[in-house]
Amino acid sequence: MIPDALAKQLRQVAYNRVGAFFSNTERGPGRCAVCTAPTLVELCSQCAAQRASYGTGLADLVVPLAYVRGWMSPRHQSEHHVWRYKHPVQPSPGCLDDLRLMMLAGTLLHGDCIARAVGLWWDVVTFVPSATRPGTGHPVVELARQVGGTSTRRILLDIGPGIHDEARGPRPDRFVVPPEYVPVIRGQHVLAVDDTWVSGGKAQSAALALKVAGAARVTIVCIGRWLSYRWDEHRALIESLTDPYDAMRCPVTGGACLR
Amino acid sequence: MTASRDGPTLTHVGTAWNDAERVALVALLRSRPHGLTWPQITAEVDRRASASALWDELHPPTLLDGDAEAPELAEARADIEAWRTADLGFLTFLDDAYPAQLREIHDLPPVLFHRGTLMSNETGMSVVGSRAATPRGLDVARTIASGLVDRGISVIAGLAAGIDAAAHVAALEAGGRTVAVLGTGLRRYYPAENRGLQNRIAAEGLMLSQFWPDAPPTKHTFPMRNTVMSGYGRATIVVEAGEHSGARIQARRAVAHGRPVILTDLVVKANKWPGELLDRPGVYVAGSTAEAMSIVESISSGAAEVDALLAAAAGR
Repeated sequence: MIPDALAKQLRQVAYNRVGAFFSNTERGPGRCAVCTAPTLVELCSQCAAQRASYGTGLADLVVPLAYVRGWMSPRHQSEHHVWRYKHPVQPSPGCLDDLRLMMLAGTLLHGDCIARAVGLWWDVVTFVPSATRPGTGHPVVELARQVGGTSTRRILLDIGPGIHDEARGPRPDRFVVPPEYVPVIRGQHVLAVDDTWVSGGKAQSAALALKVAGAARVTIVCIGRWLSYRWDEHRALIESLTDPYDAMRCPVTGGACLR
Repeated sequence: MTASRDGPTLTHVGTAWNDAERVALVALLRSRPHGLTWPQITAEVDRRASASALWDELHPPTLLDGDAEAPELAEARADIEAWRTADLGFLTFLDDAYPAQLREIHDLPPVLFHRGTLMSNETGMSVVGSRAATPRGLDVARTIASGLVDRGISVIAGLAAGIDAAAHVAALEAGGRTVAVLGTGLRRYYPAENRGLQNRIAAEGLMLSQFWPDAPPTKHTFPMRNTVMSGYGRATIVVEAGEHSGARIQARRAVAHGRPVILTDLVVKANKWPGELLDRPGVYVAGSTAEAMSIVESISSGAAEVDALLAAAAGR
């Protein structure tokens, strides 16, 4: 539990900074139980296919904090933020700070909910590396550094031989756990941070690699679930998004926090 | 298209922004291949961090091409050289000197011309309102502008008659800095009565324009200018405005950008449009200039608050 005053402050600051253009992800009927995409059944087609292929090798919990309204014209501010924070030539520090704030508020206010859903607190934090900018030079690391928790270790995933597979589905060899970190994660709950979930192929590849290396549980927390305005079912959801982002609303349950 | 292919897939990502990139950007904006709009071109260039990559994708080489540069590129190169030798500054949105706060908004202007002194990380706020201002409105604009100057905040306005001119002049008279964002090209004087003010701002402050230097005013250029004002400043203060004013447009743009808006109660009482904004994040109503100033102060300290929160978390 965090102090009420800090919780209120985080909620207010996040509302002021990103409330106008991010909206909370939704859970429950009509939303994929894994990635929160719109779906008529329990899982969206991508998450269903991934589960059929890899089952419990995948992440135990996926927590996208907000929806990103992708492919709108003009570009929506939420898409602008998740791209500009990591722009290769001229990144925007203000956008990075906003996303750092969301990651801080999300994991600090709902760490208990993640722990209850998975069954235990996370012990290790990592991030999903970028193929073009692997290692700690990528700004996603700044998001991972905001993840709270007590006595957590931080580890780094390496790029694996499967990274260049053009297909976007998950593969256990897109990433590898370096040998020195294998004992650190064995039997542990690893929280992996990413910025945007599009198909989940990349983030779930990280989960597969972590599980293969011995992690007991994996949670993926990302800033945004990418929605495409080019897609009818996503477009309908995009157009229904009116509520400002509220960091208090639970991204694990979609409503009240787990108790 | 399948869902798994729907994310932003890039064929080429740039690593450096140089004159070849600037030339390609200007050529794209001038020629608008396939009828692409400026916002589309800007978004596509930003996605690639490269204008020449987009140019090449849209102009695939054919067997008949020689080594000669495309005429659009040659023309753009000549334009840029002429601007550089003229008495105006030319910036593209991936240049280091381009205002960083403007790059944070989704509808950022791809090119920017300026006269006067650019300051990096400038903290400014817009003071906006109607051309046909009342004496009370002008008075409020002056009080707010000098209050901003007292707090080290630059006064941004649109160089129009009425509230804009009052805010610019009050800022200069208070010894502060003012930034004019034009709805025309930099070589135009519009409105003509503000010619002297325009020259004074160029000498003592900063003039910005997102339009080609000779571009005339049109009904589209003023709302576009309001977008840039919202993006350049940390907040927008609406002093007095009608139902169909540029101030209304700017208030809506600022909300879409996630930038705070301060409305005076005069504006709220006199119009219907503030109603749709009042429950949006970052929209404040001020019943007096003193109240407006205390909101300004809390917005200013908000940045430090975020820094402190993030630093505390990173230090754990």
